Amino acid sequence: MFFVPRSRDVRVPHAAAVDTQSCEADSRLCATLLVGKIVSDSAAAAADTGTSDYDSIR
Amino acid sequence: MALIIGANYLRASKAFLAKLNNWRKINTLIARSTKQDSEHVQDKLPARSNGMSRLSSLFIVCATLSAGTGSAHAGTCANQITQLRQVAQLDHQPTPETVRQVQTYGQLMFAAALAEAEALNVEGNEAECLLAASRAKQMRELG
Repeated sequence: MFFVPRSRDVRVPHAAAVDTQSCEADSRLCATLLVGKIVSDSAAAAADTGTSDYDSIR
Repeated sequence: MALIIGANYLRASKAFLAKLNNWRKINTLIARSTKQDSEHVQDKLPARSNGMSRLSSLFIVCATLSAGTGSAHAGTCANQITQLRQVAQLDHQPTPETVRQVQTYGQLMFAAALAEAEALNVEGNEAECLLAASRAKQMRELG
């Protein structure tokens, strides 16, 4: 089961942790990291199932 | 997440196919009208007018081809990436390089789709690049 933001307006926690150096150097790596950030946030949200900012997808 | 990404790909593909169908309809209409024109002229007008009809048909074909060439050039993925970056800069939207400034998932998804489009563009995968650019555009408009 994955958790995705209910709205695109949901604020990104720890945005500063995103690796900007990779985004300047390698577009493919950057895209992978950014999508990975969304997925890891979703996994973190899964740990807190009570949050109302995320929808769950089975 | 995989479902969401898959759904976005599907939506972008449907939009592309819809545009393709519109072009097919336009081309069919042009072909039909040219044919009807030609038949009508052959029945009722002298040979000189028939020549004029052929000339106008040729003109329509040339105009269609030149318009198609122009739109294809304007629609290349590299151009779309450039436009997306320009608009993002005007809107103070974070790009992959400035992703540290990301505040919402809409912005993060835009940056991810833009980075993916650029990677695919470098790899020469035009079709996938256009889909990624289309997703980035959707994220920018909705986010």
